[in-house]
Amino acid sequence: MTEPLSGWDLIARHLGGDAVAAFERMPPGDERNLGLAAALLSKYPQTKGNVARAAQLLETIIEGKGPPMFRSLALYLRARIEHAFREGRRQDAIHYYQQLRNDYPDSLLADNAAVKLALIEIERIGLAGSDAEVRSMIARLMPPRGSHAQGQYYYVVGSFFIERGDAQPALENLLKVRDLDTLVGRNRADVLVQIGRLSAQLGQVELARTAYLEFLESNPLDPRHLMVSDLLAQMEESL
Amino acid sequence: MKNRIGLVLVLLAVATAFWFSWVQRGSIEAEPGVLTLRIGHFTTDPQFIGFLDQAGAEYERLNPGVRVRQMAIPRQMYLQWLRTQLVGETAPEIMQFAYFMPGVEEMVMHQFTVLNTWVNQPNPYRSHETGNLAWKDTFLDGLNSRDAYNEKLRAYFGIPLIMGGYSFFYNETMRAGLGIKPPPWSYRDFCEVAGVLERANEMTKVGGAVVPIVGSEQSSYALFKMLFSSVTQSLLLDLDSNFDLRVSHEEAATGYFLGRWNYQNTEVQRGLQLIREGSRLMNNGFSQIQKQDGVARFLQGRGLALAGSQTDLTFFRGAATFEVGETSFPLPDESDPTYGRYVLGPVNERSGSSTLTLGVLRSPQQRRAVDFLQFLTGSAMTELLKQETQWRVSVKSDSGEDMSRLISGYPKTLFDVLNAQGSEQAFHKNRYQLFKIDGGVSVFAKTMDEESPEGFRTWLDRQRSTLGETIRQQDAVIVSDIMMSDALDGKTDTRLMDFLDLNNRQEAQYLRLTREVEKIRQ
Repeated sequence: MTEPLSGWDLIARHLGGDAVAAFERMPPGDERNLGLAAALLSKYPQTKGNVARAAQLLETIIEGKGPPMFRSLALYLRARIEHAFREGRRQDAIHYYQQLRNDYPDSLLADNAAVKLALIEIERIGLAGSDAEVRSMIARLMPPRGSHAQGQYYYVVGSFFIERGDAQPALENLLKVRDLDTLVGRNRADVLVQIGRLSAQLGQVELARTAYLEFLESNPLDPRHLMVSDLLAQMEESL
Repeated sequence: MKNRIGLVLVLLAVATAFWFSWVQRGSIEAEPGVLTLRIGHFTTDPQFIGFLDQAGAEYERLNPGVRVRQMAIPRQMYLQWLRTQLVGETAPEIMQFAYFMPGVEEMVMHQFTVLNTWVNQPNPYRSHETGNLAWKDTFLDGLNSRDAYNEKLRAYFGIPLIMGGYSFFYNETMRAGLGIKPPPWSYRDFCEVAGVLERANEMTKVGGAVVPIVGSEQSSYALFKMLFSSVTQSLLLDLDSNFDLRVSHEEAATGYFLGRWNYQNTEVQRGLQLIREGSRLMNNGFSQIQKQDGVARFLQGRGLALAGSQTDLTFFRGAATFEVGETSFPLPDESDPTYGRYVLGPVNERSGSSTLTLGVLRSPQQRRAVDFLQFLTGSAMTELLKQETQWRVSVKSDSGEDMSRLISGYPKTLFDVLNAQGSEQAFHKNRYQLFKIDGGVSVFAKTMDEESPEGFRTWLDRQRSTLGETIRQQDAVIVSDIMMSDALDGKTDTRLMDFLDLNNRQEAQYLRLTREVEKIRQ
């Protein structure tokens, strides 16, 4: 006989309805409330009623004096409700993200909150923001502490600059992603190609060459292999 | 009346599926002290069944006390059979699955074992792997196919055995008999074949002209995709807005509204012109002909060549009364007088998601079942699979010859990217205009530019909405992953880190899509 799946496992398999039932069978406490809240948020279709009930359960944990693990996770989910489920309530989301970062600065999701705060600011300023406004916005942001989260942070900022057509700051941020060395496989391959192309566009030939060569060596079966070889050859020819 | 007929057919399918199970059950009755591993699948090619029998026998030899039995179920009945087995709690320990079958994804999510722990470790059945390569990295596509890796759950559920993709098959006996030069052929070479084939009527067993390429819905799609991609390569660079040398459906759809391309675009027109010309190498009415009818025509010698799935080669070689060859698609090269200046390089033959995917049922036998899958994708069985089926296996072979005969090149995805999301309905509805005698590229292109925008807008809206739902569902899963992680607070849990990375990338993409959709609405 196989063990029944836990509530957390059911959430991981996107079986929110079953997960609610599993958590309702648990004894009262922070884990039960957290699990129920997460299960309600994972249910499909997503309803305002479920979101509201999840928010209430999370507030119970946040206002309580329970174990830090549950409280930090509750703060994260509470922030996500304002950020992703109730779009447009940026200030409320910022409040919970910052509380998470202040109260549990070493936690994994506090680091992730830094990335989410960057996304909020990017959304706020959009493409219409002037260069000065964007620089000021970036300067105000606090990057995460951990290297994985830093990689994600610089990637979303770099992608924003690509979208704006600002090649130089885009390249600078993607170089930071590369140098943090937290990406593997296809994700790293993508960043190397992006660095190569941006560098070539900016006339930074040596940077482009290094990125292309690393891509070619470490991704022999990548479908873009010939394209990158050709771009490298064309760049060398034009020198 | 129709409902009754439908009901009867369903009952017949279920009964037949049960009969197959019952017949095969006789050989897998439990022996005391023996663990039986059953493999349910719908790949009924005799070569594959033979391979699995041999692999099972070898595994039994290495593991006394284990019996391996396969249950080959016809594809038409497989889904119903699978559902019945799962509900009845009699499902085999290992099962083939494919997400193109409706409802399969949910079954997999609920009932199958997550393979993450195993795929991130070396496969013990691989010989002399340098650097202790993880099992997933021994696959030619890095185990990134839709069936193997569930992006929504960030989990591996399947192990694929072969690579998919299309090939260009030809009648070698006919070729040699007519004195046609041997392949590889450029597009221009192949155009000359048409003239030679006028003499081929005498060689056919049925009346009617022998065409250069047998056309069907599938065959024409495979050929057009390659032709279009061969002359639109520079457009790919124009549409690649994020500099990663991939063009996504999103980039194509937003690029349309941002003026980066439309159906009047020079490269697109050249691609469509080439498709129109290429269609003249096929029999009339090709788009109405189903795959099996196209195959029948090829086997009857009514055409020199046929585009098809690469796994069809084994069937062709078994069924044909002539020698069947396989070669690259006949595409324009740089020397082509008409299209050469649009060709930057060859079209990639190497990309193609892995398929024939096997998953493991959550059960007390799951560890043994996973071990058998590692065995099947180990060095020895990989060579056996190649030998028995002549299919392209999904796993890198020790000899390194896996893809060496396939051309590396520029992506072949642009045809799908431009015409398959948003504009797909318009494309299928109007494509006859491209091929009909009084039609042509300009008529077709004008119609597509009139009818595509609405489809693109709707598709982008839907993408945005779906992505938003996905991101919201991920938040709960992130918390559950942390709760289940062995690492304190989830730190150093690389799977969790990957998931957070995906979540943030997707959220950035969602914001970008939102901006694009708003801009398009203005």
